[in-house]
Amino acid sequence: MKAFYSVPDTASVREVPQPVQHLAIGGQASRLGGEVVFYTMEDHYTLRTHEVICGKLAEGPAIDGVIFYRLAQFFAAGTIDVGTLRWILERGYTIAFARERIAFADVAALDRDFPLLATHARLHERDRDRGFLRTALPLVAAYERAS
Amino acid sequence: MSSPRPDQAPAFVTTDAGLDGFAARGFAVVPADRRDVLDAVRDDVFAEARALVKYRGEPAEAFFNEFHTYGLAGTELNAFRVALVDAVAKRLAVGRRFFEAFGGALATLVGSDVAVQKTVNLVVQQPDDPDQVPTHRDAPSNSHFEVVLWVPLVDVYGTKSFYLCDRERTAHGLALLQEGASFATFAEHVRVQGVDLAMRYGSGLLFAAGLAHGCKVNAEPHTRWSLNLRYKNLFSPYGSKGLAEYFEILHLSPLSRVGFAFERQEFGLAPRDPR
Repeated sequence: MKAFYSVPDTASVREVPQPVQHLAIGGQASRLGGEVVFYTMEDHYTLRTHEVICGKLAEGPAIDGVIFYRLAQFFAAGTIDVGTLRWILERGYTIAFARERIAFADVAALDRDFPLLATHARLHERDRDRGFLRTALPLVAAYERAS
Repeated sequence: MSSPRPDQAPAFVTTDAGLDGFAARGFAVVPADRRDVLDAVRDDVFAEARALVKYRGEPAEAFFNEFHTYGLAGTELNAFRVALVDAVAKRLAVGRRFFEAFGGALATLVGSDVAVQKTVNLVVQQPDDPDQVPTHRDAPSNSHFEVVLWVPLVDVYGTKSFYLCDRERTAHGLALLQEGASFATFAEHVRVQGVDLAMRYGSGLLFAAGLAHGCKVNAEPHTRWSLNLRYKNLFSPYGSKGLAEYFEILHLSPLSRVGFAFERQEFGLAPRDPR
């Protein structure tokens, strides 16, 4: 059975509580034929640098890969942190994302899905104000006035 | 605005002119450009479905229409649906194949950079099954910049189909809500004003995600089978269902392929021929 490091997303714990992220990551580990054996989380000061998980991986743990909660853990200012992803893959570790249910076994897989990652990062920045919610608010307000 | 029942010679809806009127109505029913591709998908759904029941040897159309005579109900029917949806999602690549089957209309609506829903929804609506989808709109919270492709695997009409309000009638319903009407009033408006679409197998319904729609209890003598999924321009606004988690890239324009080739280089990845 494969063994994975779990890295929940520190930045979104308020919206998706840590236990729920653990469930999602555990499910992704199961889909990849394995289980979570270690977990860690970035500090608020290391969200962009990934120093915590990179430090753990630099020790060469006997695992098959790392499962993050979501792709956005590697987004910053509308771009994707390809460098860190490639650094992890080049050490022989698989990378997976539970929320998106996608996995990269090697740098070639990362390269193949680069358009998806780059576009997702760009759209994440652009759409983060969630315009659809603004659209819905007048309707909700009208409904609340009536009830 | 119900469509006629079979004994009243239903006027099956087609818009052979293509998408004329889509901008006004918000929907269009179009014939498959590649009927052979659509037929192959239906054959594959048939093969997956008959493997899950004590199949009696009937052809596809009879199997689908008379499916209720297999007597599945309650948890047994739900287990069948779950197993079949899982098989269809994992093995049949419906998003890609339907883009081949209905590609002309879809490309006109969403352009050349196309994202498609990662999974496909399969609905089996047996006669008199009270468990049906209530009145709703996909957007919001989905994005308005998505088109729903709804494909029946059998001829549908009357309550065997589903009701859909066009753009103008949906807008009128929204105005009721904005004036303080209850959601029940809105839903009744949609149910009364909506059209029970009559469509032959071989055609697909394309509709904007903001149109109000729903299902009635199927009072016709046959079971409805339908597939639905969503397409959008890759770079268009997303709602609560985002790229990567809900949508994947289906097709890139030549310009986008060149653009990503340059970006690959800028991000330190190996150069890749964009052709």
